[in-house]
Amino acid sequence: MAGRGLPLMQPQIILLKEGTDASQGRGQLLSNINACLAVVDAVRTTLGPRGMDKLIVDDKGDVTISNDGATIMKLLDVIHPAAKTLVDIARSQDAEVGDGTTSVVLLAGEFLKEVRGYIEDGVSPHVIIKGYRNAAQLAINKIKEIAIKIERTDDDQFRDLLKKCAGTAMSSKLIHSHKDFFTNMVVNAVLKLDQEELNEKLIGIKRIPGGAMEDSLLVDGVAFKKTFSYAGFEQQPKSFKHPKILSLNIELELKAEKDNAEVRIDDVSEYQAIVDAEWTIIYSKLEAIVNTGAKVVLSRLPIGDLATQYFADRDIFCAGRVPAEDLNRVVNAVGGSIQTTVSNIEEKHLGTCDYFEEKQIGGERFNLFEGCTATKTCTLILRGGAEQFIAEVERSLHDAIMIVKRCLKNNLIVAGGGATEMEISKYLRDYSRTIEGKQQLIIGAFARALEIIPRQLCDNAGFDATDILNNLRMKHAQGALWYGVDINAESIVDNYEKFVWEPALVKTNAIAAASEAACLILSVDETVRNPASEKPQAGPPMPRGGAQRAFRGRGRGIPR
Amino acid sequence: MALKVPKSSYPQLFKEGYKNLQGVEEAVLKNIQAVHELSEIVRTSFGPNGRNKMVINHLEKLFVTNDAATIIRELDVVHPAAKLLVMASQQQEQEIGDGTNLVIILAGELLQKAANLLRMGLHPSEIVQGYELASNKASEILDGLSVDSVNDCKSRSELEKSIKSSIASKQSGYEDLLTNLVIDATLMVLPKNPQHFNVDNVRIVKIMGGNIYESKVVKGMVFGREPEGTVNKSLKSKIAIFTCPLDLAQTETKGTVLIHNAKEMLNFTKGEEEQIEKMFKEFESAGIKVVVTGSSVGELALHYLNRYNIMVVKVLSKFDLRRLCRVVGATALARLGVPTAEEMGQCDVVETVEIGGDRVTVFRQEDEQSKTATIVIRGATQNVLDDIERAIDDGVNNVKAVTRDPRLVPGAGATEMELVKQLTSFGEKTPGINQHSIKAFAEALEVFPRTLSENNGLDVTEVLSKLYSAHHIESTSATEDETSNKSGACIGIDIENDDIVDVTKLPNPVLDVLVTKQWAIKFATDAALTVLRVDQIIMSKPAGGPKPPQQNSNWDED
Repeated sequence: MAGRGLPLMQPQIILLKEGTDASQGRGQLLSNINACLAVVDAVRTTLGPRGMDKLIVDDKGDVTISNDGATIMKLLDVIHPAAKTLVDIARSQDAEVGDGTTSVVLLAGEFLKEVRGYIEDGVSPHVIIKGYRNAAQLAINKIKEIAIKIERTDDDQFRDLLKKCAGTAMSSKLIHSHKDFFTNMVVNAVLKLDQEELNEKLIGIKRIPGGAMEDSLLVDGVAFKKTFSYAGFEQQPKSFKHPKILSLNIELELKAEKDNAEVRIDDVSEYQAIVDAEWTIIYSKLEAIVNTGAKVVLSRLPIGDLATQYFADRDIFCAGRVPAEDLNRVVNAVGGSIQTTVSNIEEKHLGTCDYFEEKQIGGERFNLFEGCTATKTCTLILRGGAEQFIAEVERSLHDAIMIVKRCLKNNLIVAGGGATEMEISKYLRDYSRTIEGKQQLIIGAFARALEIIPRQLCDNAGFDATDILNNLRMKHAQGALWYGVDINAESIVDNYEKFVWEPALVKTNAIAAASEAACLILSVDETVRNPASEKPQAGPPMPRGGAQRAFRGRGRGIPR
Repeated sequence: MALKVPKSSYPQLFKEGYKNLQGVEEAVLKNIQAVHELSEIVRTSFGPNGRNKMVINHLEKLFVTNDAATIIRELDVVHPAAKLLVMASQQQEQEIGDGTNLVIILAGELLQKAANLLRMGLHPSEIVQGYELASNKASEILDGLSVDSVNDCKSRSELEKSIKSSIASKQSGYEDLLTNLVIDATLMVLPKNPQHFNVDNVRIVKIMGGNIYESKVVKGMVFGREPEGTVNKSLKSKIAIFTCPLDLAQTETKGTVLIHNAKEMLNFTKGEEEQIEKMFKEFESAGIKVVVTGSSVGELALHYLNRYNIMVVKVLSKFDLRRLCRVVGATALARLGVPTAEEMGQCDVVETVEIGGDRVTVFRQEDEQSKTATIVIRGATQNVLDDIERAIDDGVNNVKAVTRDPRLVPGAGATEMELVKQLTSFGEKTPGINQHSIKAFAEALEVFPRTLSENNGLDVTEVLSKLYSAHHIESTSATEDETSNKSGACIGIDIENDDIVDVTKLPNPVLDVLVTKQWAIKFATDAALTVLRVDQIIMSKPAGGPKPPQQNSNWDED
């Protein structure tokens, strides 16, 4: 490298904009790794059934308690460029699989940690990247090979499988003490969906503080909170059997038909006619609705007091300002479609269900639609002590729902509790012994890194990790495929027999994403940070303390 | 040489605060130094083992890449001379779409060599002259170095030759996979006359999640959003495309509807409804099953479209809308109304599918040839996706380059080494002072094999001397085989085995597109010469005073 850093010319040449911060070389790579490890440390303790939760207060003062890796990473507001990659992979795991977000971050961190020594010793990152990509591919193929396919012959048996997978996902969360209760709920909910599409957005989750967790219930249909109502609502009947349901997107109120319309009259007698006309318009709308025979009228837009009373007189239930997504779910559940006009509504545009009721749940009144004909949707109503608590339950259930969904699509499963990781680790270690050169070391490092999952499980549960890992290694060397950590007995056990099952996809995706992130971080040798341009609006450009955090970890390592 | 000119030579000519630098010492050498710094930044990114850079631009967006064009674009270079280089690389990006790194590295090296010549006492104009001669000669020699060519743009193996090495230098390790994706996509859209190949016809959609091995090519177009209405699948359908909102026409001028009596008021809304219903009824009777709009969809319109089972897709990008028109063969209409038969498009499958966690809408034609192909890239992080997109982009651009000029030259530093050899002997034959600069030009080209071996962790001196001897020996002893005159010219660096090798004889021959190199040399020389020709820099005082340091009231907290 000719001339770099040689003091050729005395005055400093300004090549880049003032304030640009550049750092490079091995030191920079190491500090990137350190920054990532710092982030990993934040989520490390949340892994597994005995993992702890994190309480995070964001800049608005909102409190979140969570055990979900993706949620924590998102709220952490990481601004270190290299560490941001970890946030990305957690999110990608969340989108792709829904669970295993902590594992993926943990694995990526461990992959980096294992090779830090090699980097310090001067091994070219390219050799490492090549080895890692190789190892990841081998690991994924091995998982696919050992995964057990569950045939969907017997529905009961299959249901059982889904429950096992959901249970494993849940066991690491807050709700694990009510695992049986919730797994049943989740599996029922997912099986309700259209089996082709499996759009999990059609599972509504409603949170009502108060009551106990067991008071949560699954509504076979739709439920939403009672909307704002006008006078006359009290007179309306609150329960129906087999009602016809009309979903609207119209404002049923006295109002101007068009914003830019103007009335000019020459005659006083005309004035009354215009007023009458306005009334006629709304009455004709209401009449059209009544004529359809609908007994429940829902609208996304407000339903005014005039309409409310009109419906009350005719024994019709109505609810205005229904949130759009709830209304969509209603339409999906009861059939029909959302109408934007009241003229010529036909029978097929109406939906129906077995039973409609407005019911008191906790401190809230809820509209429940049960026993829906076209049902492709359902609603989970969650109860619990505190708002944050229910929020965490919701996240846990979301993870479990995603897992069940993945199982349905792809019924390959592996055993959890670190069993799969140990087996892959063993396989890669054996493989590495058969090749020569530096790759042997790298693949060996990859194999070692995989052991972090069982080790962390033990650490979080307060077990002697070294001891248990030794036992596990021995078992796997003897050919016991599915031996993993037994959290309850502080020992090891065949997790396949114990029904700690997970979809294979969780593992393959986690390994792929983690090694990709590790390779990305390893491939960087220079960071250039341009000064942020002036933001148009005044206000703090970065979250508090952001500036300090930005400088940490680049150019020098984080003191650990 | 270079007398120090006293600074106060223009006491009253400029306003206070003007910066004035002149003469070889102050201007030329300083410029060279700046350019050199810039090229040093991207040098380590060169080649398959080049390292990535993390660049955070002024919008706080993070880039992780080894694509020189992107690095340079996001770097915010302020030095005027270095900016010239940035522009040169951008020209290369526009002309070829690949080889931007070549330009910057070569220009940097050319100037570095020029600095030595300047110190020797040559005048910049003499160097300029020599460089020009050498550049022309290099281009001439290059024409004779072509060892292979893409004869048939429709053959996989032929195309593979031309793009693999380019992709390998961006995404080493994934080159097989990406090359196949690029070839699949280009073969789908390659018109009968390959000359008309349009880079724009290969689209890229990035969907986070999964891993790169799940990337695939979709025939037709993929849009990252769901249809607006309730219909989400339609087969063998006629398509109407509109650029206007699907709603009742609105007047641009502010108008007021005047209502004179009660009757008018009653009929007002009814008229609107009837009008819009009539319209979509006509759509249905015309057989249209899919409506695409580049703008908003009115609620009432959506209602009737749902009622008539017409699928509604919103495509907000004007460019995408135009491409979609090409795919389905429709004319985009600016006015709502039933299109004529010629204006309607036709598409075999329009459906919503789930890729990863995202639901996307696919427009697909079943027949052999398609107008557009989309490469769906999967990956765990946004940065990886972006970087792979850039690699694919380079690959597609390379296909375009070979459709224009099918000639290929050996890669991995072989061509450059041969140029060094031939240019040096050309220089030695040239009389006069130009000899020095031509030889300097030749030496500058040596930077490619040097950088390649440097980035690869090889012993630079050893590899270079091996290469030199290989190129000289084989061309003098014509014993081995008949093409021995050329085989010497094909010796390059074997990255896998840390040795030198005839790159055309490898199982995966490393071949580069000739025009890429030709343009790169041309642009690099131009940029270098422009910098050399400058002898004075006058910088006006930046408007406004220097900004006060950012006050952060929260220093103590945190």
